[in-house]
Amino acid sequence: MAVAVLGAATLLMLAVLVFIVVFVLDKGLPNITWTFLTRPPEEMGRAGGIFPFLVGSFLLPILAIAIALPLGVGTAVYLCEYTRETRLTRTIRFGTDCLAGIPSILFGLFGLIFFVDILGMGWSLLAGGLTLAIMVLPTIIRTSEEAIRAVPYAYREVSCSMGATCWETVRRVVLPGALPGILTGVMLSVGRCIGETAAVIYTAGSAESGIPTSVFDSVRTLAVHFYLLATEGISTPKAYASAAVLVIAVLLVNLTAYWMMNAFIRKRSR
Amino acid sequence: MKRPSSDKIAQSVFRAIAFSAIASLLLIAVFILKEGLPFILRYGPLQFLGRSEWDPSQGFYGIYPMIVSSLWITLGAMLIGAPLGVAGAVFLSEFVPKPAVRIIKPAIELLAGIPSVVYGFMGVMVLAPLIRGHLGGPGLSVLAASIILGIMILPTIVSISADAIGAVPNSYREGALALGATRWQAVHLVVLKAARSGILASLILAMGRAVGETMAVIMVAGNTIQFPHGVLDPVRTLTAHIAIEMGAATGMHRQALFATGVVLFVAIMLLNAVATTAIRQKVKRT
Amino acid sequence: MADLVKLPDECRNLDARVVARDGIAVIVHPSCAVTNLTCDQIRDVFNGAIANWKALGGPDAPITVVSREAGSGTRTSMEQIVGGMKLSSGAIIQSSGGTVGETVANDARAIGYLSHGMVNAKIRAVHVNGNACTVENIMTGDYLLVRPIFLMTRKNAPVATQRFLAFILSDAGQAQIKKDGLIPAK
Repeated sequence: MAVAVLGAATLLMLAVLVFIVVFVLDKGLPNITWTFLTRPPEEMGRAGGIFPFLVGSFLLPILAIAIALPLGVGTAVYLCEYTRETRLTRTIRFGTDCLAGIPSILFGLFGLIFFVDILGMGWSLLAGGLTLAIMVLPTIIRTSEEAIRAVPYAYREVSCSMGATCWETVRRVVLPGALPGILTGVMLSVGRCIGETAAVIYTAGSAESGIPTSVFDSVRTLAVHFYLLATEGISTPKAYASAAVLVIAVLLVNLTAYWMMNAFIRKRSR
Repeated sequence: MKRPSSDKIAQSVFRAIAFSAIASLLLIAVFILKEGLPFILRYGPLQFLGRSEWDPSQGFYGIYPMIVSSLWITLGAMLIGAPLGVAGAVFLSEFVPKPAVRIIKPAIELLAGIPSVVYGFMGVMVLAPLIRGHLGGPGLSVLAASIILGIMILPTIVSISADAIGAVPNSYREGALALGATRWQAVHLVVLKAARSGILASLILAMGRAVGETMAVIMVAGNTIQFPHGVLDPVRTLTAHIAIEMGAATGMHRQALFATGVVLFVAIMLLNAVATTAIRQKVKRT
Repeated sequence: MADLVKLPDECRNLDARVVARDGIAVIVHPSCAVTNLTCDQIRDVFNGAIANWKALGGPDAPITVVSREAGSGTRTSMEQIVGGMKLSSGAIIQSSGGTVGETVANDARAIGYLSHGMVNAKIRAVHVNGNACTVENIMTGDYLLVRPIFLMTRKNAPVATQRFLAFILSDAGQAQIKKDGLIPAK
C-alpha cells in the first residue's frame, strides 16, 4: 500500500517533467533549423540563429565547474578526511548551507561590483564563470561531503592497513568511491549554470558580442537570450526555440555524463 | 600515526583549498552586509522589519509583508517538493530496476537545467489560468509560486536523497529482512534512518534554492505588496522585491534593498539552524 | 537610453537627444467587451477607483490591474501623461513588457500597458479617447500616450559616439528605426 503511494508520487513527478519538456519542445522544436543552430543572430534575434549563444552556454558552465569542482571537492575532502568533527567544521558546513540560499540576483550584483568593477574584468566569461562558481560551490561541497561520507569506513581501514598514506587512500579509494555522488552535485550545478539568468546578465553581459575569443570577452548565454527575447517581446517563436535547444542540450549532457561514469565504474570493477 | 611528508603536503594543500573556498563564500557575506547593514542600523531594525508600508518617495521602508510572503511561499514550496521528492527518491532507489533508474535519474536532473524564466512563463501561461479558473483570484499567487518553486527544487531533493538512500549498505536491508520485516518496513524503519543525513542535506539545499529563487517567482507571485490572507492572494517575496526595484533605485532606496538582502541572509540562517537542530534532537532521542 | 516623458534630475549633466518615439498601448484580452477608454477612466482603473468591468460597460467581474514596476520608464511615462495616477495597492506587478502582455493574454479580466510595438495577436490595444493606437495616430499626435526615446551621452562624448548619434538622427538612421517597427523622431 505504502509502495503504491510512493509509486504514485514518482509518477506525478515524471508527469510534471514530461509536461514541461513537451511544453517547451512543442513551442520550440518547429523553429529549430540547421541555420538556427549554426548562424549568428540577425535583427536582434528576430531572425538568424543562436550559434554564439550556444558557445556561451557551453563555455560558461565549463569554466564555472572547472573552478568550483576542485575547490568544492577539496573542501569536502578536508572536512571529512583531514580534520575531526569540531565546531569549526560544523560552522563551515552551516555557512555553506546558508550561502546556498542567497538569491541569484545578489550573486549577480556581487559579481558586478567585485569582479566586473573592482577587479576590472569587465563583463566577461571570467567574471561570469567566477560568479557562477561561487554560486554552485555550496552544492558541490555538500554533495561531495555526503558522497565521501558514504564510502564505507572499512575501505579506508583496508587501505591504511596496506600501508597507504591518507592522501593515497583518498586518491585511490575514497574519491573513486564517491564519484557517483560528486557527479550528481556536478550535474545539478551544471544545470543551474546553464539555466541561470540574473547572475549571468550582471557579470557576463547580455550584448550580442559574437563568439568569445578570450575569457575577457563578454558572452550571452542561451538562457539570457530566451529571457531577452521573451520579456522584450522580440520574438516568441525564436525564444521557445532557444529554450528547446537548451532542454535538449542539458538532457544530452546529463545522459552522456552518466554513461561515461557507468563505463568508468564498470572498468574499475573488472 | 606518523604522516609521511607527502601526506603533510597533501594536507596543507587541502587545507588551503578549503580555506579559499570558505573565503570566497565569506566574501559574498561581507559584501551583502557591508552594503545593507549601515541602512538597517540607521533606519532601525524594528522599523524595517515591522512596518508594513514601503514607499521610497516618502521614506517608508517597511518589509514586513514581504517577509511573511517569503515564509508562506517557502513553506508552500517545501510542502509540495519535499514529500514528492523524497517519495520519488525512495521509490527510485528501492523499487525500480537499475536500468530504468539510469534513464529516469538524469531525466529528473534535466529539470534543474531549465531556465527559471521558462518556469516563470509556464506559470503565467498554464498554471495561473488553471488556478484562476478552478480556485479563483488572479491566478498569480502564493499557490502558483509555491507549486512552481516546489517543482524547481524536485531535482535537488530527488537526486541527492536517492544517492543517500543508495549509499546505505545492503547489509542493513538484508538484516532487516532477515528479522522478518517486509520490504517497506525495511525501507522506512532502517534504510531511511540510515540515509537521514543525506536526505536532510538535500532538503536544506532545496530550501535554500526555494528562498533564493528570483526570476520564476517574480513572474508568478503577482508582486503585490500586501499580506497574504490566503494562498490565492498575489504577494511579493523578499527576492522579488530586491530584483524588481534594484534597477531604478538610488541612494537610500538602494541601500534599503541591500538591507533586504541582509534580512534574507539572516532568514536562511535561522531556517537552517532550526532545521539542523530539530533533526539533531530527533536523532538524540532515538 | 531613456524612455521617459520627463527626464529625472540625475540626467542634468548628460546630453539627451530624442531619437525615436514610442506609443504606450493599453491592452486587454481579445475577448474583452471594452474597446475605448478615456484618460479619466484609465486613471481610475489603475488607481483602483474603478474596480469592476461593469462600470466600463463590460461584464460583472473584478478588474485585474497589471502594471510595471516602480522605476520602469513605461510606467513613469504613463503616470506622467495620464496624470494623477497612484497605482492601486492590489495591482499585479510584472517586471517586463513581455510578461505584462503574457499575463493579460491569459486573463480575460486583466488590463495592462506596454510599448505599442509589443502588441501581438494574443492581446488587444484599446482606443484612448477614441483614437486607436496606430503608428499614424502616434505620429500625428492624436494618440495621447506617446513618450520620446532618448539616447543619453556624456557631454563631449568621444567621436565614435557622436558619429553614431549623427547616423541615428540622419534620414538613413530614422528609416532603419521605422523598418524595425519603431516610430522615428520626426
